[in-house]
Amino acid sequence: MSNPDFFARQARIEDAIAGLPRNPDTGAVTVPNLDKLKAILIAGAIPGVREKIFFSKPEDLGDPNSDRSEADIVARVTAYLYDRAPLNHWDRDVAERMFPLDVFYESLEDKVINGNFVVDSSGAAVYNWGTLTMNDQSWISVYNTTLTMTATSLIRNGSAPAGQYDFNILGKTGTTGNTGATVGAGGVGNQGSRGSCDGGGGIGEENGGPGGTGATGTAGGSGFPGATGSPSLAASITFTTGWTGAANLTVTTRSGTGGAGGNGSPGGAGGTGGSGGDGVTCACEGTGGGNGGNGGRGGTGGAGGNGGNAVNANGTVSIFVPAALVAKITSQPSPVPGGSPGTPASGGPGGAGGGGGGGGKHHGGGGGGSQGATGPGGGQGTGGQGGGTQNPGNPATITVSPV
Amino acid sequence: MTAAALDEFLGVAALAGHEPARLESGEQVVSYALLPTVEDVRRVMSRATAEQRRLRQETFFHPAIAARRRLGQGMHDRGEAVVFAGGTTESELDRYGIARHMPAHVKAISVREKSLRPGEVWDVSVRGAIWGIDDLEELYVLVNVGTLRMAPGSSVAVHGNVFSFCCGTLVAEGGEGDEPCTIEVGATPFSVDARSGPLHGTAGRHGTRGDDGARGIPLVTERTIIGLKLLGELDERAMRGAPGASGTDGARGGDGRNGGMAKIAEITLRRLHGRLTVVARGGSGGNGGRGGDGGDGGSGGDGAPGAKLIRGDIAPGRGGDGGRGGDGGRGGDAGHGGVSSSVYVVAPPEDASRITCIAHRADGGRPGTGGAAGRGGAAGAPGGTAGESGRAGRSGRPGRTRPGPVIFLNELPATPFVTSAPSSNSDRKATS
Repeated sequence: MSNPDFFARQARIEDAIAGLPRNPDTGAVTVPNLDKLKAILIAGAIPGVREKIFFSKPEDLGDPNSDRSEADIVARVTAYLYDRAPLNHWDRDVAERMFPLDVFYESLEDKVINGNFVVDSSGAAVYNWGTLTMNDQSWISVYNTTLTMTATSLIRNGSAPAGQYDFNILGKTGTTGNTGATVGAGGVGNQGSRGSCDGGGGIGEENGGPGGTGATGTAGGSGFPGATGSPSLAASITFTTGWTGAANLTVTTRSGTGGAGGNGSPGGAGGTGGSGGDGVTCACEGTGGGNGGNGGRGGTGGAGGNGGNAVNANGTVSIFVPAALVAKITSQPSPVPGGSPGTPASGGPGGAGGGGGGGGKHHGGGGGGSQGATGPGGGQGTGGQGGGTQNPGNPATITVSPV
Repeated sequence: MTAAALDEFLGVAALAGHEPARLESGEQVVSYALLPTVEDVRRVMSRATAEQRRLRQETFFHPAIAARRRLGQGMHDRGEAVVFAGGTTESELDRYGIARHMPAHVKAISVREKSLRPGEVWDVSVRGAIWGIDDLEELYVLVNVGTLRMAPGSSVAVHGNVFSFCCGTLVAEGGEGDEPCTIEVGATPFSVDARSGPLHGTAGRHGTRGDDGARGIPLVTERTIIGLKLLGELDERAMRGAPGASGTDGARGGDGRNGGMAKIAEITLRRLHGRLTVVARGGSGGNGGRGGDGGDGGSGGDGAPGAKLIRGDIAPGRGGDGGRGGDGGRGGDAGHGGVSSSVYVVAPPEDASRITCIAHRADGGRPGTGGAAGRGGAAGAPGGTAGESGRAGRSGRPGRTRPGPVIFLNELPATPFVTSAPSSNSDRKATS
């Protein structure tokens, strides 16, 4: 047995997950309850390390009787899972509701990484490796996942590509807000009244009335706000005997950036002006057609949606290496911005002018009806307002401790 | 051509101002004249004798003509009675009204001899553009022919003009089984009713689809070691999908207009060889336009998905209800068949039996069908209710069919007097 540490950890973990159903495709095991999850997490971390993963002090965990927010409950449950505090029955009842949960688990004596090794799991992820080899231009990215990664040793060939760190503990950017709802054109203006003859029916009296102005186009829908980012979660990375190859290792953490606000939708087109009323023929003469109505003004463009809030990290990043190597870990926590606002939309086009009404009968000696004029088009709607940029998110604390 | 017929030909040509020398050379002379008074119109347009006028006057206002006495057309009828029958303008209002139409606009054609090829149509109609006036004005056509030789299937046609046809000798060629030679008195190729626009009603605008309801705003959650927790406040109302908007109603289809009008005609034949058919008809009414379809209702927005949160299970937001479909627009009313004035045919008694008179009825238009109902918008999921469909539009009213013109042959009606259309599809046909 060349790597006794690895096999000892594997034995502990296998013991913890014994009998649990396992998804052959994802490698995840389905954990039925809180105590089983605790057993797996503890088995994945070496003794002397797990006590250091969770840093909250007992007095920061709040009173289980009165502090019942989800954040308070999660903090106390997490302390329990890392064996740092007992759990009261109220919190246990709440936590047990969430089961079964999936935990991703992988155990390999030799693990080789090329390129970007992504960890993105809905449940906690537990890795147990004997020797981890990270080839040149490789890096590890962990997105919004509780991570326990333990290896006996690391062979670090080369470095991460430019702009990347060896280990990247990240949140997730919120999704972009949807574009505002599409809106329709304004209603068509009323048709003008029909012309009329006098009481005797032979002489024209009234020309056709003018068409009504088209309705203003509906205002474009505002873009929806971007979603709040998802936070980085607690992560522990342990190399029990250190590493070879690169002189230094780099670690960064960023929480989730807010999602961009959705774009506003364009304002609706202005309604078409109403047709002018037709003139009429009154036996031997006619009356004029009414002028077409003005086109309606285009609707105001939809406002851009607000960017989503960035989110603070939810858990620390803990690195454990032999004492002689602690100083060779370079850490870089970075805040993340809120989402950018959506783009406001342009106003809708003006509606077309209404057609003129038809003229009544012409007659050389009488007043001939004429075709009404086409109404002018509506004005362009005004543009939408910009959305606001939201709060930045604070990064997790990165601690580097001796094994 | 007899000497009397030649004299009449030259006399009518002189009334029209057509030079004899040009006619002698075989030229077909066409002129456009303005006649200042109704008496001038009578002198130029009618070949009727005093006795013929007296007889015509007795039946001039037969029921179909009398029925429109109070309309504007009634004044025109009384004026035409002056021109073609024994009428007088006793009413001051009529004199005023007729004076408004003066001078009369006349297209005159003289030709000493003319032959029509088999199937040829000699359309002598005139429109107002010649004088720069509206087509709705009363326009006159005078055709003065010495000898007209018509091959089988050929025809002389006039559409919507007051018509005077005088022919010294008409030779209608062909025999049993050949296409007949025809004089056709047709309607104006446009409506002359009190409205404006195309003959057939335009289709109504379709209604617009209602806007879809917005989706419910999803929960904002954050992943933790034991599942999701809520970020921010829980707003279950915001999780509901918004209802779809109603579709708008389809617009009413446009009404069809009344069919064109067949105007009074006087056909004078001094000699007929062979068989001739005189056909007269008013125009068919325009069809009503189809009603616009109702716009579909907008779909209800889907509710935001629920979630299993640490604080408890959150049910998904209810889907929005679908919007109501718009109502279909009513179909447009059809136009009525066009009205017709009488046609007077004069021929030697020995030739009259070879003249067939056919008066076609003027069919009313077909009503516009109602627009289809807009469909109700789809229900948002879960739990939304689909929108109700709108109501289909009703059809418009059918147009009234009007009887064809009464054709008089030697001052006796060759087609019956009727004021309403026959119920069957048969046209009225009589051979004197």
